[in-house]
Amino acid sequence: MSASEFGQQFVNALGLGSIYALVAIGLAMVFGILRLINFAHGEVLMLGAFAAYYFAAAGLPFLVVVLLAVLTTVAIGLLMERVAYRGIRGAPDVALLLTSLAVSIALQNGALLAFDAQPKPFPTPAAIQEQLTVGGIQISVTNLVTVGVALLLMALLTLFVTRTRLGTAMRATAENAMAAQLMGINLSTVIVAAFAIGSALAAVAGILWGARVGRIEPLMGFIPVLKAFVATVIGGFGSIPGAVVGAYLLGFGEIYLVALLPGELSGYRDAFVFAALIVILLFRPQGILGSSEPEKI
Amino acid sequence: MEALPTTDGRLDGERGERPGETALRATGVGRSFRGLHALTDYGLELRRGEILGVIGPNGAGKTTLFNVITGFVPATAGRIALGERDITGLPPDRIASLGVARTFQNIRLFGRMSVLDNVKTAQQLNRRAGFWETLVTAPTFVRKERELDSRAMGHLESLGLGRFQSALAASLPYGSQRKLEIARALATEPRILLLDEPAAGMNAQETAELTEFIREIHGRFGLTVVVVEHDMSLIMRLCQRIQVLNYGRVIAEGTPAEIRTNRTVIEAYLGTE
Amino acid sequence: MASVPSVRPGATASRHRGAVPALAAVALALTLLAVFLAYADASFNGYRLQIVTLVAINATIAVALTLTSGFTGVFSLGQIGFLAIGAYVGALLNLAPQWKSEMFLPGLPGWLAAFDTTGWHPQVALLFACLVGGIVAATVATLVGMPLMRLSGHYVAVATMGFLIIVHSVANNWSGVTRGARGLSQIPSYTNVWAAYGCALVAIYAAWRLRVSPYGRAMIASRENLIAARAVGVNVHRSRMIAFVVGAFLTGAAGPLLAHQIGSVAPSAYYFTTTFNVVIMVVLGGMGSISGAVLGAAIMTLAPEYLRGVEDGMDLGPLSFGALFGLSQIILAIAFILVMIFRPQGFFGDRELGLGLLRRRGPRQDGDEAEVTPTLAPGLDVGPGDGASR
Ligand SMILES: Nc1ncnc2c1ncn2[C@@H]1O[C@H](COP(=O)(O)OP(=O)(O)O)[C@@H](O)[C@H]1O
Ligand SMILES: [Mg+2]
Repeated sequence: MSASEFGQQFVNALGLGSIYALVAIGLAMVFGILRLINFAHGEVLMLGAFAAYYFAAAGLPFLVVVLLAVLTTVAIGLLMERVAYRGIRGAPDVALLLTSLAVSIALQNGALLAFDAQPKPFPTPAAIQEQLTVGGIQISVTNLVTVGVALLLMALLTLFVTRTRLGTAMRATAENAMAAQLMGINLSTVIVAAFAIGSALAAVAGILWGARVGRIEPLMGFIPVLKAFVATVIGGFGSIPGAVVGAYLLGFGEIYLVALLPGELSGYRDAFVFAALIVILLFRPQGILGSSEPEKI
Repeated sequence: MEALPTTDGRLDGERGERPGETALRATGVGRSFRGLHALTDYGLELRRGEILGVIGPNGAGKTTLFNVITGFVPATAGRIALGERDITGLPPDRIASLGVARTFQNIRLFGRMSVLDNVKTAQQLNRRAGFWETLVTAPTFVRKERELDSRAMGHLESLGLGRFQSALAASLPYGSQRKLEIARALATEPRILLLDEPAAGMNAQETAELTEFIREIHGRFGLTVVVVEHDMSLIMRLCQRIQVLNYGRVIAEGTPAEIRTNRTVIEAYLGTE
Repeated sequence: MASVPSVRPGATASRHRGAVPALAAVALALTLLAVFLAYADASFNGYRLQIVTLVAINATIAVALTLTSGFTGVFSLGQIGFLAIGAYVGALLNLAPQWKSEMFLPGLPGWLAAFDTTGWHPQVALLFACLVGGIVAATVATLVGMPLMRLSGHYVAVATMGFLIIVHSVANNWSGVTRGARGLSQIPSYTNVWAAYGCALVAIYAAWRLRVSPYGRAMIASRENLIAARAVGVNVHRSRMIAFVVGAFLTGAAGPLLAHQIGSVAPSAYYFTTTFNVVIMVVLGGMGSISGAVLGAAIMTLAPEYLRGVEDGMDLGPLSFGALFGLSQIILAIAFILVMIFRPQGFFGDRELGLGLLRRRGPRQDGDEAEVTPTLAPGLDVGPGDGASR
């Protein structure tokens, strides 16, 4: 790999990792509070991208499109929580997992019926589609924007969870839901906040993904959510900083793996990612940042 | 009468032990959780056939001691031997198969299995049909199942649980659940029985019955018993020797009479708590 | 309780008294099934016969998952990976050598490319494929299960899902053997109702025998309370391995039946949608109930046929999807969510259809048989490596 190729891939990996991070934060947040692995989070991302597509088709300016898409997606996320997940709060882990799989399948099929399976070109503004050449390295503006937006949102999120009452309540609940409730924290408020924030970030991730890939389709949420999920496992289930670190590690791992693998093996990239996941689950199920003690008997 | 199960097939000769020998030896055993020393430099020479009481305030490390002996929580220091055999680091099911059975402070039954199946699951440790024998339902399988049934029933009857045999374990009243845990532990045909607060939640009458029952199974099966309990009447009536734990350390050891008058013990219970 | 009681002599004997009527009932049920199959075989059109056959194939898979996950509480999302392995193995064994060379599969070892069963009796070739498919799947399950069965709760669900994704990825990319996304076609249609129902009965029998044996008790005990199970000497890892490997064998054996029924094998048919459908069958019937799994499979295979009225797409039951399931898939997903919310124990929970009725004949000596509401996969609240790891 030449130096310029390396640099190009570096930016590329940062961009991919940023998207994974935005998706992974929502997964980790909901998992931390509910022990729910929300597979339908990928469909939230997909719906965010489609919302943007239709608002853009109405001829609105792009920033307005983004804002409206985020709001729409948040509404969808909250609806999902209310309809599907509220009724099974506290159910065994696997029941939660399977329910989210059902929600995911329902939304996928609904989107297939509503939007058609045919991919649609994503209306990325021309300004973002350009390529810059810096010191012989080709850099896509999309990647730069992706990284910038992700970092900005993560900074805002950090401020939110450390500086606001609601943010503190969310952290307390993730730490120990029982104790948090005893201290008067309203569980439902915290859960709604987690879904709202997660959905907003997923909507942004969906738009960035659309810009990156150039087109959107009803099944587009599947791969990002699986990858984001791997990221949360790498970072330790439920840890938000862990999820972010895991997302960037995965982004880099994936990009460089594909770059280094001989062409005929690059199709196996998902297989490698999930083999890595299994290895991590076996040797460090608590993730790279987590620590564990045996259960009290 | 006496259709009660015995520990045949596990002759004492096979176990290579004689009365008076050490049944279990712990030396320098320690366990810490993230810097918290739940058990420190613990030592024990458990003589075969004795009934040892372990007492101490909440959080003293009594349950941790049982967890370390039975392999659920590996010791971070020291060694544990069963007779001549070092069992440090063995997994719990191996230790159970070597003849150490326990009950749990917070009851742990197989809730959605029948009462009978709870006991059979433990009983089958020693008598199990082979895989193919099972799949084709060979006559040997049927015979072994019948044998499991009748032995398990024997254990249930001895604790007065016979009439509950086909009820789900989770549906039993609390006291019967505690008894079922003991029946299940006995069904593994142990040499050493560890009871973690067996009288918790029982009234004086039930506790007295339980005390008698422990004394009786101790005699009948030639068991070695370690019992953790807060109920002093049970401890004083049952135990030949008592260890007192506090902050993970043995602070006193002796006969019931000695412990009753031991200053350190009285302070541990009344003073600092 | 300190008194020394004796065992009532009749106590055990009565438990076996139900054997004769039970045998008679089973014989009657089998006869009725045989009559129905003979009738269906003779007079149903190809499409309806295919649905009848798919019920049995799905039942086999659902029963296998009940064994693997329902009994042990170790939820596997990788079951369909074993189905895929069985299906590909069956196809590669029984495709005509000439067609194998026309499809261009350079990755096939010479002996397999030349392996020729065209001269065999179709049912012998099918049985052979089922056995080999089952054995290959069981072998893979042994290798995969060794590490994975040490995990618990959603960790194991996720890891087995990883296995499914890996199998899918290999099927999609190993073009020299699998022909990639296009899949293998022209697989001779050997499967008939007799083979399919025979296989389902074998699966049901095996699961049932294990369930009422020390093996099954060990599995359920470890599901109900992992720590207590280990304390009474249950080797949790071993008993999970048995459930996983036997389940993989049965699923792998169903693979060739499916391949020889549909006529083609493609990666897309062995992925999340199929996984989800089988999961619904098992959860609907009640995790841990064999008869529940069979009922769930029947409903889930037949329901889309009725739901098809509301959509235009063509599909051949849940196991072979065409372009779109559309509405029926949405309806099933919503039904599943409703079941999870309102009846998480499914139809039967842990219970079996019929057995209870027969047993009640004997003198009752039960105490209060207050119902304990069983829910899906309980006791999974333990940490990651807790399981059989130490
Ligand atoms: N799995 C564990 N993780 C962390 N701390 C533990 C664990 N098990 C026990 N402890 C701690 O060890 C100490 C001793 O506990 P325990 O043995 O249960 O006491 P006892 O049974 O005497 O009441 C307590 O402070 C307890 O909190
Ligand atoms: Mg204790």
